Amino acid sequence: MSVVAICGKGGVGKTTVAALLARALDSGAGRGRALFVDADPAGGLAMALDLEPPRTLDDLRRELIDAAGSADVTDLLATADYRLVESLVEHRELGLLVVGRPEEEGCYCKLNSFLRQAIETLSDQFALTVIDAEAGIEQVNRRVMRSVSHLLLVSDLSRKGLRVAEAIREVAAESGAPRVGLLVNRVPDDAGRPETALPVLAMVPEDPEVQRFDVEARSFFEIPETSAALGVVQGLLSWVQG
Amino acid sequence: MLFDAPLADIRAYIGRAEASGELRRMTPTTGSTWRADEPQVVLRQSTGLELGSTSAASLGLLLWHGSEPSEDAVLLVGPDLAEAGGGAAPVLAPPAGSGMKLRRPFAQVICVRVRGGDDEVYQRYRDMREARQRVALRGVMWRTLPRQQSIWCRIDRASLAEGLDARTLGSAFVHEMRALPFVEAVQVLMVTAGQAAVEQLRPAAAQVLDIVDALTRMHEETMELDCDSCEYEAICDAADELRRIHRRLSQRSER
Repeated sequence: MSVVAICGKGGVGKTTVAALLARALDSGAGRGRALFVDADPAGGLAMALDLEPPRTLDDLRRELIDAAGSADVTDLLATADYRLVESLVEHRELGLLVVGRPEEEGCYCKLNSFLRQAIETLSDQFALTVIDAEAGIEQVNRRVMRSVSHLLLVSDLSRKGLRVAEAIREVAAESGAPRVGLLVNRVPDDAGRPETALPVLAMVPEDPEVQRFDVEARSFFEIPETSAALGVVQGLLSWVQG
Repeated sequence: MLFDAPLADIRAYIGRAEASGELRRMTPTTGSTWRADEPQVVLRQSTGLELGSTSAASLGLLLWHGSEPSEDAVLLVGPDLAEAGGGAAPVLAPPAGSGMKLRRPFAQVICVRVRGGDDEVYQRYRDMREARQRVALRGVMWRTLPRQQSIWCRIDRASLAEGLDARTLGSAFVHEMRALPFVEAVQVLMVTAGQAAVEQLRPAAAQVLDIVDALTRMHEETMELDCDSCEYEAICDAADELRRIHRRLSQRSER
């Protein structure tokens, strides 16, 4: 079972990579079930996949806060578990959970811990979990999952993007040592490999097809097999599932 | 006893179903190869049968007594799982995009015979409730909303094809409850006969909820311990044992 967190500086295309991964998994029979967690407060992954979640984890957390006054721990855990599965939006063998707005710091720690426990129990039932993270590994650890096995860092060719990716790897190394790889996104035809100490897994070319789907707000599940970016991301499947 | 009134309703319900030939009485299986280590998730794509949920009639009750049931049993009112799911063949699964068609109203009533231990009634309730939560079978997604008395169950097509039936499902709950040291017998009633059949259990469910609610509040919260002014007086009037528990707690708090 792999838990992959997609992290990187804002605007480098993390959500696009997550959506392409969903598309790549959806096209292959027998790849097993995958759970996607959209941890971006704006819900970008749900939009890219044109999936409408019945409720976000933030909605669920508020519901649990309301229920906490009249339920004990066992009831709350059962409720969290039930409502979490109900919050899953399904597309064939893929499930998507949307985190929603960020939680208030320092509040309702116990409920957040119930919710995280329920997410981890749910995640155990999927061969692969992919988290489209907001930014940084701390957020992933605190809000969604305790254990990340793979850290997929995404950057464009900018020095700033690469520095953020390197910084995230350092933080990740402190909280355990997941497998780390860098995916360089939106690479022009004539560009070479970036100078970085990070292991480069793949270079995703600029792809007009992906841009068109993005602009037209079409579901990435419909991106044709001929897409160059999709082809590169398909090549990543063995790494994320390994 | 605590649940005399709802148990009488449930007994009458079973009697009616038996008289009309709708009840199947089964001896629990002795073991299960279906046991799973963790709660399962069944996605819509592979679902062969969906029972209950918040969007279909659904009831899940847990109650106990000192002298009932007389023996372990699994009772079924309505079609067995493969029949209810329209058969186990994948061809009968709902076509993609058509929405779930194989969803049926569902009720499960677990009656447990317990021995002694009035003082531990609340802890025992918690133990039984947790035992119910622990049940996990391969290819069966089972979730409960205790406060809403709601159950949501999805069974995958592969499990239906392999022969998972109501007897196996009910027996899993019997075994989990029987592992508790104070449990002497367990009867699991399952109703798949449709909405009307589930709704007939609603009055008993309301009584069970009131009693459990009062019991929980007595033990979990600081509440009014003067019976004359307590908001649960009416519920205690209907369940004598609840009043005794209340008085016991009240005496403890005065010491």
